[in-house]
Amino acid sequence: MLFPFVWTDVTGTRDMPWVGAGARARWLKRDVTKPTDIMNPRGPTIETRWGASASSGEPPWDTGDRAADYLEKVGLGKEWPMYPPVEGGTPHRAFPYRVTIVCIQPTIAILRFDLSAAIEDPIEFSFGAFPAALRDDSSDQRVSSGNLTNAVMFGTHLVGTGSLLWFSPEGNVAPTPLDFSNGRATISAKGATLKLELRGGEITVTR
Amino acid sequence: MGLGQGASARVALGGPQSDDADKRASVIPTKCYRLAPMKPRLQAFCAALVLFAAVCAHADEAREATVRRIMEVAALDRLILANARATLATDPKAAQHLDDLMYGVRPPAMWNAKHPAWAPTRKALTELVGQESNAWVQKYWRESALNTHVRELAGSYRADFLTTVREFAESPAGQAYFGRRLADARAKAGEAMFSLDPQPQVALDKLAVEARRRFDALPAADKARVKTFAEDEGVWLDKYIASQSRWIAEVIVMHLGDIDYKVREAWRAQLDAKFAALLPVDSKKQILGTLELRDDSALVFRFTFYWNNAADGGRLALEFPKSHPRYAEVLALAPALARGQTRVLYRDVKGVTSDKP
Repeated sequence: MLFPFVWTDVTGTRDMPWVGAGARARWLKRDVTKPTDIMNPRGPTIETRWGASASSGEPPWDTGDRAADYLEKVGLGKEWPMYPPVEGGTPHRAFPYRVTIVCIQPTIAILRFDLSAAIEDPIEFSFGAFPAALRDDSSDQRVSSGNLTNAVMFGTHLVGTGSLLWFSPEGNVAPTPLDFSNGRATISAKGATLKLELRGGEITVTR
Repeated sequence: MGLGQGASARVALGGPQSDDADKRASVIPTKCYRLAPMKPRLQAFCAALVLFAAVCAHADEAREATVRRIMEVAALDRLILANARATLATDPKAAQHLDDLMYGVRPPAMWNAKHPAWAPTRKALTELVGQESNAWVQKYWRESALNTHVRELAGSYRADFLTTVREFAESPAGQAYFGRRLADARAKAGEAMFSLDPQPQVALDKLAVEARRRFDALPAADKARVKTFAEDEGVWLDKYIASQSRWIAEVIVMHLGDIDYKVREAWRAQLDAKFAALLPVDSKKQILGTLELRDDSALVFRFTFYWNNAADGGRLALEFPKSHPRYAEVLALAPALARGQTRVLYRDVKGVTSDKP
């Protein structure tokens, strides 16, 4: 239930990424439908933001797009072929990596090599990209992905198989291999430090 | 004099009126009585308009009756359908729809026209499609197409033209002429699918021979009549037949691409049972594509995707030369893959990719 023009915390059970040096991000929504929008066939106008608060946050889709754009900017995408353009849409790249945002402000994301990521996930297989704990609600753990074939994921739990890299657009850190020694790794970008633990084929991101 | 005018006069005069008239006057709003009376010229014009509309409606009905008779004796609708079927045989879109149905049996990553099971499975599938298409076209004809053909012919040609066509179609010359054309068209197009009364090819060929014989046996005067018709009204009638055939051809091609999911699933089950030993191994997993180890040691992951209205419309390849940082990881997906060999890759619901179906 959203109150008109009031930001409401609808984080629920989402596994939210960290915010900078602070706590977890919140998922906020508000209904900005005007009386004149009553005939709008797309229904109510809802704004979404994530961050520590609505005023300091940004639309999650912007973060996802920025992460995907950064990969393109640093040239990681160029190696992989493009799908033909779809009318009215961005042409997608057959990018064989899964992208998971683990921190925002600054954005820090982990890349996991997965050949199947180059192909759009069929609905019945789409949750397979998530760790077991997030599969039931996997549709709540995605944001848009620029020109990538599959959605960018977010959370502090992710599958840990395959080659792993991390990057940060705001920290200007190009994709860098994650070095796990004794199953642990630490990454820092623009004042945010994250600890990663790899156990049982799953990575957990903590402070 | 209009109704408004008369009633208005009675009220204005206040003369003797019946009880009924009083009641009418009391319930009819006064405004109705103030309508301006029609001028006689306008009245005449309106009457003429109504008469004209009635005459036109009657003429339409008469023309449609004539066309229905033409359809009955010349079977033009069947000729149109046979021509559409002939188009279907050479239409790449129709072939693509059949291929798409084949890729519903097994996805493009697993097989294509080079696979040994492809040809026999496609033949069996075509028979199943044929049965469904016959039932569909019979219903479509009854409910829609025939009426459209009738209205199109009745609405596009003059009444005297239609009368001439009907008279010719009813004559022995016309019967032999249209009979031969229909039999030839049916034999040429075949009736494997989209047929109102499917016949085996042998029967169609026999019918065509008989129809030609009947036509050849026509007296000289009838043959001359056929010649005259074919060079005059026949030319215009052929334009109608061609345009309707094109339209129906488009409709039936569209139907091939729009067959109900449950029907397709039933076909798949039948084909699975019939060709179990020949078909590629089925899998409940996502079928990603194929991984090839080329002679130059490079790994190539190829996959198809839906594009341009075709299940195998688009193809992409990801290449991993031996120096690629992910080479070993990709090769590990298909253990013991030899040079020149290709293997299908699958992905299970947990997201694990392997070469195990």
